[in-house]
Amino acid sequence: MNDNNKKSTQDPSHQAEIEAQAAAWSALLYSGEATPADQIKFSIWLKADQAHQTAFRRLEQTWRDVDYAVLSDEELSQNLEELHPASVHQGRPKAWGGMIAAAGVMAASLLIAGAVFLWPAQHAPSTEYRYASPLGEIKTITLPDGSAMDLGSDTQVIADFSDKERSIKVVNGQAFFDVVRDEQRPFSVKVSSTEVRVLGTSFEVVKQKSGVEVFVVEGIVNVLDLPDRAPPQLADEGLPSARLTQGQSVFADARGTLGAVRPFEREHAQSWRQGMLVYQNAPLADIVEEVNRYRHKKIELSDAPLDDILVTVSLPIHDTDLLLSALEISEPVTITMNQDIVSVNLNAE
Amino acid sequence: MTAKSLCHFADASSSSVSTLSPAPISFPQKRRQKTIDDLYRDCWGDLTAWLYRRYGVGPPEPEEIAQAAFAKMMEVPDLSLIRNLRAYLFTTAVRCAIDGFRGQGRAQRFIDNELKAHQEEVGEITPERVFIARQEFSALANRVKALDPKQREVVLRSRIMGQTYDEISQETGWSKSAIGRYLQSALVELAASNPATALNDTKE
Repeated sequence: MNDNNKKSTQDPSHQAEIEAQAAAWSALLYSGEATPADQIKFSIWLKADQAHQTAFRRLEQTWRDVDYAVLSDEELSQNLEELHPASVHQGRPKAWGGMIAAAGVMAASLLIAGAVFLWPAQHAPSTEYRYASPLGEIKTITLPDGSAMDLGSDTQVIADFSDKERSIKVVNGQAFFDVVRDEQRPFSVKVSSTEVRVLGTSFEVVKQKSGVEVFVVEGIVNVLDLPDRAPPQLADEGLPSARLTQGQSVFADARGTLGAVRPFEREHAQSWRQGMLVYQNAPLADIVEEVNRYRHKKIELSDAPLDDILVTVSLPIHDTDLLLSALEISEPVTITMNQDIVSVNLNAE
Repeated sequence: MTAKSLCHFADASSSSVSTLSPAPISFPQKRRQKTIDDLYRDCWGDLTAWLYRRYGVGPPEPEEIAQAAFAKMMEVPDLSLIRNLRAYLFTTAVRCAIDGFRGQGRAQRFIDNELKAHQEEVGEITPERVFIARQEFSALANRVKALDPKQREVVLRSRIMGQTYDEISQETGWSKSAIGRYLQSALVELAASNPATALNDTKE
């Protein structure tokens, strides 16, 4: 949807005229008054000019986004509450009220008792920042404290900064941090059940299906296995943790259980930031998992023995199809392109 | 899907769960089921009552809409991205309702097809969009608030309650041509700085 400016060079009054026409069409089409002849006229208008298509699509997007915008806003939800539905006068509210109550009782009786679900509290907007990178792209961001953050493809991050701490949550994907030292405000990165705490250093975290991997490029970091339920305490000496220095990595599974601290190939951990995915004797399953984060059409390994094949390859992030060509040449595999997936099958002997 | 089967789906101890999900349940799936379970327990009554107040007895009936909305929520891939699950659930229900109102659903499908013929597409509400475009959605909410009260009422009635000009006219006493004018001018004002266009330009 990056084509909004196709005709942005139009003169403003002409553009305004097109927008007014688009609004008139939209209003008519949803009015309940549009005749088949109107629909044909609309088709002709839409076809006449690409600027019409762009303007109408933008307007239609706004129109459809109104419901979430209204329902996620307290004041507007209240406004909505005060309006009457057209059919309510013909209905029998009392009977329906009874039925709704009955449905409530039924639902309650079928559900086992559990904790009360709390809606996420509203944070002070001044301290929370959200960042995301589109699929196939890498984004470099300067955080409010001056620290640098590189986001890998399809990554979402929430940063919550206060006077006392700098806290980051990696919701999805892969991120590299170059942290400005501030002893008064520890910097922490939370991914699933794992937390990385530092004062000032550079490191990378990768959220994978099976867990989280942390790589330290410079300085010292502490990686903690957070308890499943309780929120992370400030005094957490009791938590399982690992201390990593430059050139070391650790893997934590989905529950946060930490593996052994190991050295890593610096080249691999850093190369994605330069737009390359570099692997040396890496299991194919791991490569495919990472490569898929850069691809719209995902790769699927159809036969389990393929997972453990060790592969050495360098791929530009914008041309990960090279992996498929390399596999086809070096391994006994057949590659099938389907509509939304590429499957790799082991050839029958 | 009936209310009963929804509940069983959420209750891991139930015997029917094995027929619904034969594979071992992974940790995130469990957590996701719990989220749906909690949402169901907390919101079912509220949602059906709210749907009744917004749309009357139907058809589609409030419970039908609520069930369709919960079925849709179960298909959402990444619930953890959604900050305001309740608003997301209610929006999903509104969309199911609009789909169920014959005229409105038909108009929307007609528009989708027309746009597709020119390779234009309207973005759906997804967890990713709600996550990334949070500020844009709140900017849009502010523009709705800034509308003239009559414009705002027509927007809410038309978009969210799915009312036709006839129905709006009956409720408000305004003429259909006046309603058309309010709606058109409101649309122009709301689209003035379209949130959707900013979707791919994340902060920074």
